[in-house]
Amino acid sequence: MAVILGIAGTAKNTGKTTTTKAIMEEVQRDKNRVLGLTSIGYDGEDVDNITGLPKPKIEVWPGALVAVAERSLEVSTAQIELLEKTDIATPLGKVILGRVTKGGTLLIAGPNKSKELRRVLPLLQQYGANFIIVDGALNRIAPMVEVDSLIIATGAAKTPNITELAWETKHLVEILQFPVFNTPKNMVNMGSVLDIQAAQRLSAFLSNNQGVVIDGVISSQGLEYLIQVGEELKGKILILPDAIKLIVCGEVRHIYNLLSRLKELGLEIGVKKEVHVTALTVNPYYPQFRFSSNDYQEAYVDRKLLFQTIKNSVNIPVFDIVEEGGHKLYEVIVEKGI
Amino acid sequence: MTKKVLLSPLDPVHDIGLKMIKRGLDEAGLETKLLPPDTPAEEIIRICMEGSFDTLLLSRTLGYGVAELLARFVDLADAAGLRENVRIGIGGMAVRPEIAAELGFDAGFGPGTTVEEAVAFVEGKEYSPQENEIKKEKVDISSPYTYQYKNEKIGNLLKKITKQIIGWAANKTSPGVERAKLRENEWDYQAFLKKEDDSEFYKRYAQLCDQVPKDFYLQGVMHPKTRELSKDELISLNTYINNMQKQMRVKKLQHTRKLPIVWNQYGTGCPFMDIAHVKASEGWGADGVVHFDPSWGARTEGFLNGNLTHQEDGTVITPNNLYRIHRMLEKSTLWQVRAHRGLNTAETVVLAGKIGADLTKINICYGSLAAGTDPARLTIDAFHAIKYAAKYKMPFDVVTNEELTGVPAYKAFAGMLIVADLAVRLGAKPILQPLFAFSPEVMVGGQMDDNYIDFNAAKIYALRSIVDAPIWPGAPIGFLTQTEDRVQSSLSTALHALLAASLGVDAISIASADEAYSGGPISIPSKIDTLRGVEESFRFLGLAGIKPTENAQIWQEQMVRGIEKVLSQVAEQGDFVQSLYDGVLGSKEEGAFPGRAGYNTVREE
Repeated sequence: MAVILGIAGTAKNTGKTTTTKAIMEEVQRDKNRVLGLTSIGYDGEDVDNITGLPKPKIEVWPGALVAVAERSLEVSTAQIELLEKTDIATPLGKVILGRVTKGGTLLIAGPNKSKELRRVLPLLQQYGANFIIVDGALNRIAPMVEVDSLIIATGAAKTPNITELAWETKHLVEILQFPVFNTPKNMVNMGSVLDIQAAQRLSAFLSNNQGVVIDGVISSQGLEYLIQVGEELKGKILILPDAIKLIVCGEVRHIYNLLSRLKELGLEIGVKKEVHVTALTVNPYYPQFRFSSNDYQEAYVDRKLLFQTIKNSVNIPVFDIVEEGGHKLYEVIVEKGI
Repeated sequence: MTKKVLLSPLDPVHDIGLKMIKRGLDEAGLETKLLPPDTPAEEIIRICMEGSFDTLLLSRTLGYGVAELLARFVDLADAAGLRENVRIGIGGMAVRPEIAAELGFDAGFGPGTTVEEAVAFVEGKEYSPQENEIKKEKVDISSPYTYQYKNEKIGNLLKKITKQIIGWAANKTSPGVERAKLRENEWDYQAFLKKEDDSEFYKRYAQLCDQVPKDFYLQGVMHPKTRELSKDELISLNTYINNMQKQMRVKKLQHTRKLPIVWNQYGTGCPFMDIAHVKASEGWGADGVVHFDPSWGARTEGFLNGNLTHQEDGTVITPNNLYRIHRMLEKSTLWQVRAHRGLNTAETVVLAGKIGADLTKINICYGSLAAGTDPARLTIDAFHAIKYAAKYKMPFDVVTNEELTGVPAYKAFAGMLIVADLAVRLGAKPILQPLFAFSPEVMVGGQMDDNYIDFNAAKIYALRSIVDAPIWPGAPIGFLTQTEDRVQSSLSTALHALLAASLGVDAISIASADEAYSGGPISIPSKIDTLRGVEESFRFLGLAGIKPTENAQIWQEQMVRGIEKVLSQVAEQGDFVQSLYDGVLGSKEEGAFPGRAGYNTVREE
């Protein structure tokens, strides 16, 4: 069975590329695996598009399958045999499916939204990939609803305050682990709740029915409105498509507090589809902005302290890839994936 | 069905770009709605979904922490289901396609985005920049001119002088003329391209050369200043050319005026750097590039052969070097191969013509008074060079660089007009090249104490009052006004370009910002400095103009009287070559010394 693994970050420079590279090395070693590689962003450049600091480069090997934008091939040294050109448009041209014929560096820019990733993943499998890595971008996570297993890279680049980072990480993982509900009968369906009017409708639906299924997102404003409604929520059910829909609406800690408050009020919140957060990776590196010269410089927090603090704050495996390599992480992925 | 576009500036204030795009989209018949700045993300997404828009265009200046903010917007839109049907583009300063891809947008629009680009995105068509690619064609700046004299007195004096030159030249020749003849009659460019054996030709050719080229051909001894490019170097040069040509796009500097066209020179000495310089010139908008030979080349009888490089200014003229540069020029780029001032003037014109140059450069007075070539020798060689230029239909400019040694403009102009008149009589198309320079004449005379405009304008007015001929100030414009400060240097070049445009001249040659002070090969960034500066000056000026003070008129009249006086003296003397030796067209006191190279090599046939 194919593994479809997403690597998301909580911010830029939290170690997505390093994690991706470490896992790729393990896939290359595992003779039963054919790599399929794509990205929801842009990765593999020499220097960061925004900070201007050097970045790790992605290298692919013969036989690996890729789904990347046409123009990303222009700046890659790997040679790719074209298998199929899709009509999926990106700022860097159409997404193509290809097989690596000569190893080298690869700049991966690929399908950057859920709708397109949903089309590309089966194509990679059709051409024989049985270990697919979806490389993330910045703090973006929405398209990762399409993967089966998610690795989250976090670290000092999110915030160099380790305690704050631990709290944020704990809350993030807890939201992503919200329970799966089987949709009961007598539920009302509605679209995304993005403003007060929609929140009012939601609240009315909850009053008159057993629960509501939101086919989209609910904004933090919407959650705040529900809290005001208060007692009437007791015993009612609110279901979202998946937990990712909960975290894209605002700062994780704020959303977490709102959700906790709603639970206290007796509202049961669940999701239709589970997000499998398989592991976390932590990175002490962060780009420090220098106001004196208006640029960035490399900086680090205490590696051991960061690792221990994060490890103690969550109930899933945590890895420091630079320190221990990708082998153990790979074992965890494969074990969970099968 | 009409596409609906929602536009929303994420910036607190900067929504001007979106307003311009909106205007373009409206004109293209699309339905648009522009939200006020600072509308919250949730609100934008809701409006977009409820209003059934097809496209969402956002704008935001990238800055500290903005990437995460935009990524969050994209995530929210994706999770809310907006991206199932709506495509989202981002525009703003610093936005590039790479950043748009990383942030997760469907398209990214940086500065300079055209409305066509935005419309193509909205309509879901593939935007192909080729369609909007600048159409650039070669301009023959000599074609509108009649070469009729407006100053009849000067016209008559010139007629008398050039008749004498034609008579003098009738039965004379020189080693340079003989080499040109041999090259013209016995050397075939197609055969060269097919790499046919040319050893017989070079055996005969060597007999007409100085010792160094002779040893090169007969003994295989390299010129001490040169070396042959290695095989590896040639392979990587060809790879470089091929790669470069794939990604090459030309650009135009002119704004609403079509003229002047802009010339840049290369001539780094290294064929690699030459090509890089040419490509940079083309990429940043130059209309033409100038090939010039090293100064030792001008004082050596005969050319060398092969893929040669050396470590001095100027590019060694060989068929291989010329061929390689010609092959990598864009179709729209004018190519001038300078032939003037030296002992190989006539043969340079033949080679340039056979290999496909558009223009050449020939003069007599500067070369023989300030560039070291014997006056009689350069007169006979230039005479034949002009005939070849006419044959190969290459217009050429006639320079007045003797001004730089201290010869006053009116004397230099008299010399230039003699060569131009001779050219017209021989069927060629000369281009007048006055200097736009802070010359010794004005340093001493004070004509530029107040401004750089009046005296340069006077030159153009004077020439225009004499003859209907193309004018190409150079070379480069602003000579001796530029310093080692790149900003000052570029600005000075740009301002002289502004003046040139305002005066309506046909062409200009511009230097690189570091040209006067590089102490070695000029650098590409400084080449781009002045091309960008000139572009901006054309944009600034448009069809408006610069108004000189009344001094321009006064100096124009003085110049014309001076030219008449000099031409009368030459005509009276009845021997142009002797006039050069005697200092009538520039004296020793003025820094003009008749050259010695090629002395006593003119013989009667």
